[in-house]
Amino acid sequence: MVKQINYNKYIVMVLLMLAVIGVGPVGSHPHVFIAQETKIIFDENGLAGFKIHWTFDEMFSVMISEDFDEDKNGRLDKREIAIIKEKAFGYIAPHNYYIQLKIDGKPFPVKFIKDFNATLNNGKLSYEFFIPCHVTAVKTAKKIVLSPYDPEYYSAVYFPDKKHLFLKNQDPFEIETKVERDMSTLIYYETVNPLAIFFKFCLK
Amino acid sequence: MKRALLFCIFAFLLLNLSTGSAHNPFTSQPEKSHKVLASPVKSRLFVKIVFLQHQLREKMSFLIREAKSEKKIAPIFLLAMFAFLYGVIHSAGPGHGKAVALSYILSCKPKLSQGLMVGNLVALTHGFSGIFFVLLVKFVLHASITQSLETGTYITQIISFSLISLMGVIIFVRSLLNWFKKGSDEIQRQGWLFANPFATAFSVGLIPCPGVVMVMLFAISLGLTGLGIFLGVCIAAGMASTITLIVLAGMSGKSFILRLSDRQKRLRYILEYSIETLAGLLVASLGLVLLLANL
Repeated sequence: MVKQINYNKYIVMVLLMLAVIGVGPVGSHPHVFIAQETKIIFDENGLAGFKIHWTFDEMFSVMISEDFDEDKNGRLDKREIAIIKEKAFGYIAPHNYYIQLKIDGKPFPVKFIKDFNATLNNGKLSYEFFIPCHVTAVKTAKKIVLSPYDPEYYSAVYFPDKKHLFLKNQDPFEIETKVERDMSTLIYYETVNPLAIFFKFCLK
Repeated sequence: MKRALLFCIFAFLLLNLSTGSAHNPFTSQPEKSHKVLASPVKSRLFVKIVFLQHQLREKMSFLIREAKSEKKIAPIFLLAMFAFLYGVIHSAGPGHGKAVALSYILSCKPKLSQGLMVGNLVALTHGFSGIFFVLLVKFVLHASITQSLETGTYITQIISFSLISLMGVIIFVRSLLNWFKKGSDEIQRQGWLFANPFATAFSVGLIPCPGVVMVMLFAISLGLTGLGIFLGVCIAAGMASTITLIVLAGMSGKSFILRLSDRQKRLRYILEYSIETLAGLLVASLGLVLLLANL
């Protein structure tokens, strides 16, 4: 007599397995969480660049402050900031400092940054830096997309719930901004469209 | 149809070899960070999981501070629960030894108890090596955490990936011999060391878990070393439950496929040894790819 196989048991197992693995390979990896505020800065010619402000989660903040706040006074002095820039920030340069930019649909590699600063505020670490990106304003709109993400997914960069997008010196220009998923890009092993700041600007 | 579907899922399980970078990109030189292997799984649910993981970390930070300031026991129960949940979710990500634990049970014909032991030991070793690493660096070596983690991760990765490669090669060679000698006791004995759950768990779990390291460090920075160790254990227990679930699923899948062929002994024989050969080959390839990427 042929023994009946209990399919239900296996189906439950497979569902459980999918629940765990199906979302798994990219689902839960980040070890660092970064809240990003972005300031789009204009000058007399058009776009001048982006001031990026990152606030790290408390656990990563402790990791960095334990090592780099050498005098353990809860503040970072110039020397400590310089060491942090070299040893806890500069290494992400090959990843465009986690800021992926497109100008009129073409990628703009972030090769360098300026005015790096690091602060500790109630134990929370923040980085601030400026990305120069000069785009002259003309009568037709220039379209820019700024998407923050770590392609290796060790860090999750996100926009906080509070106001996170600011404009500076924007008066001479007509500007439209929106934050939504960039449907033309897939990240984290091609599973997700990253959140991005879309904006266009032209002369008034 | 059901057979085909289940076989596909089982094959997918076998191929689920994704892994993640254990190097912190902020503090690691770019040339030292290895490439992440792409996973065959595509899912959008992970955004919610990432959000949940972030929330758990925030809640844990808050409760650890509360435990420190109020000196009460109540937050510790909640903390234990959150740490366990964090471990469950965290280990579902790339790495954490799932692929190797799974390959072990596919290739080494363990009993259910042995399979469960492997799943648990892999996670516990991975978690405990994180605890041990932090205690060693903070209280014995008094060294920089980020640099030590970088160096420690690099060394343990080389050792771990070498052991995984060796284990894979031995499983593969043993399975080839099995094709000809039909699983003689002698061959089973030769492979005992690498079928040993302790050896498997050690080779996979050797690399300190960065999640445990960060939670431990945070607690220690507030002067709560004991709580840090306790939370590390809770995270390891959470990781153990996830990996155990995957091992159970793998064992059920294998047993199901073999039962499908119960009536055809030759087919069963071919399937069983094919799974073993493939698992050995995949473990060896995974180990070698990771080893070469990190050298």
